[in-house]
Amino acid sequence: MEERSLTLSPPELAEDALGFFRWGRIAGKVLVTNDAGDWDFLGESEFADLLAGRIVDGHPRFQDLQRKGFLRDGLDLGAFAARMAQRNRHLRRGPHLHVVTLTRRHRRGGANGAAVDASSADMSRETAEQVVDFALQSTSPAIAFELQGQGGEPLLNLDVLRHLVEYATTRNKQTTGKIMRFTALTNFTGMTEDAAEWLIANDVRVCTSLDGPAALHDANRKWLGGSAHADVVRWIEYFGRRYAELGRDLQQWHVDGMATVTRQSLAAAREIVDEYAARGLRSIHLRPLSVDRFDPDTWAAIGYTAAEYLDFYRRALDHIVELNRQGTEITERLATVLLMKILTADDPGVVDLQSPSGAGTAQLAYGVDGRVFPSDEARSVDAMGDPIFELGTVRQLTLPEVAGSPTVRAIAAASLLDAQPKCAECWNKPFCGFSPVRNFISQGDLFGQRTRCFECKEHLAVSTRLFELLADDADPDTVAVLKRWAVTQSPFTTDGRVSKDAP
Amino acid sequence: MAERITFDRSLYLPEAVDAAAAAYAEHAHIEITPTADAVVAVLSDVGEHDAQTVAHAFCNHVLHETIALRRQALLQEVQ
Repeated sequence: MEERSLTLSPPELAEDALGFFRWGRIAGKVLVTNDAGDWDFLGESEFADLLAGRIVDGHPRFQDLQRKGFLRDGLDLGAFAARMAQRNRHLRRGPHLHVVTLTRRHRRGGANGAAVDASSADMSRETAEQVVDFALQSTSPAIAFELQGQGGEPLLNLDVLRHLVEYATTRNKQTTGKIMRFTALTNFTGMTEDAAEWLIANDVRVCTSLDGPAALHDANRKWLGGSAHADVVRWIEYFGRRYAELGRDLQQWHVDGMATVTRQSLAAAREIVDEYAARGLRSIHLRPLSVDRFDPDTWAAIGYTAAEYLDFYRRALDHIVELNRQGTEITERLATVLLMKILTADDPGVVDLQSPSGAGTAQLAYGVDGRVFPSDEARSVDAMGDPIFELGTVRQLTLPEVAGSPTVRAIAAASLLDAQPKCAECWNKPFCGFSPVRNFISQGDLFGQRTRCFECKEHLAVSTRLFELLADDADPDTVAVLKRWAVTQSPFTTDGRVSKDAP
Repeated sequence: MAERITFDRSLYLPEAVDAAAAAYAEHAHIEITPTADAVVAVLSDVGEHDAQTVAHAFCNHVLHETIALRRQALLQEVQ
């Protein structure tokens, strides 16, 4: 074998002049990021100057890099700590997202959802009250209830859904006075005009599945269940019309859509986005399939590789950005959440994109029987037969016991990015996070290996694309679009979770 | 170069170290030596991987196995 040699010269390094940062190369520039979420692009020579300690007072990049904490000279440690604290405020907030499974019934395989005995499959009114009382113990000033059905339709237990909302509203007025929000994750199979009017009147937001144009959506329903395209569109239009008639702010009040991406979707990125725009939807949440949820035969029919999905995502995101440049306001959820982390000083409150993960500390999930889990994914592990994440029941537990439980502490330890090989050095660390429960499902390991972690690939690819767009000095219109996504979104439209299953 | 890691028995279960070593067998050669108060793992032959990254990931997996084994034992006690 031919022997070849490569001479490497280490860069000139002045460690004592540098703040702590991570770096990577994007779009021909060097991106530097730090734990306060500050970042900057440098040219290669500027990066060499930074490493060598040559960026000093009088250097054109000195003021920016000093203010952001990349230089030790004049480092304002107090301000840096305050920025870190603001970005990590979720650590002292208390559980704000409460995912309540109201029924295990579903319409698939049965004409009226009665295939499962309702007495054991539905949450009772008494349990719903206990869930509310438990959630209101939280120190969080805002509480979000996500009301779901294990089969995609919480409206199959409409009586208890209504009771939970009414009881929570009353109890909140009598006691804690928190900001409260309700969202029903519905596939519309149980929707009626009466139910819709009640949801609108009681400020319950609606999130549903819309996978794209009719042919694609209806093809997916063979595998995923739920309503036909025509029914979903009818209800989206119904809610949109009623919100407008009632004079609601349509930026805040609109049906949120989740598009589950199957193999058939991969060639239809533009068509899916266009379908959302045509229906007047303001946001689209592109959801990859999880291989663990399907048997091998089904996965062989509808699954894909991470690279195939990320190629699809990039084409969809670029088309969404292009529509915005042409005047259509529509956002993609994961991109928006990451942009809020990249472009603002705050944390958007998304529980599964935080370090440590918010499972058990920012999010709690409840089974129909009142058992408490650190996250909805943890509840789904129990539904698959493994109670390893069960914390207890709303009848026994207190919230301080949840926060101190070994299970929640293990999840926090496993998801601290500073302690993760690869994450600790990754430039995307300040903006990233992952779910140890998903690692447990997919890899049998709370910590997981980054190279086998789909979320890692997904978050890095999306952040990379966003920074590529932000780096393009020749395209200020696109940068303006991305900034608008980051600053015009209300926390109500972004907090929650990015991992939720499409109803 | 070999990475030598000592897992103190006050925190880590020896069975967890064994299980993690089995799980990482395709990534590294791992020799396990139990002592009175610890279990010592020596990792070598990590192939094209970065030795420190493999060692850190291996440590995390030992911790996961310890957590899971203790949790399963607790669940069995309750049942």
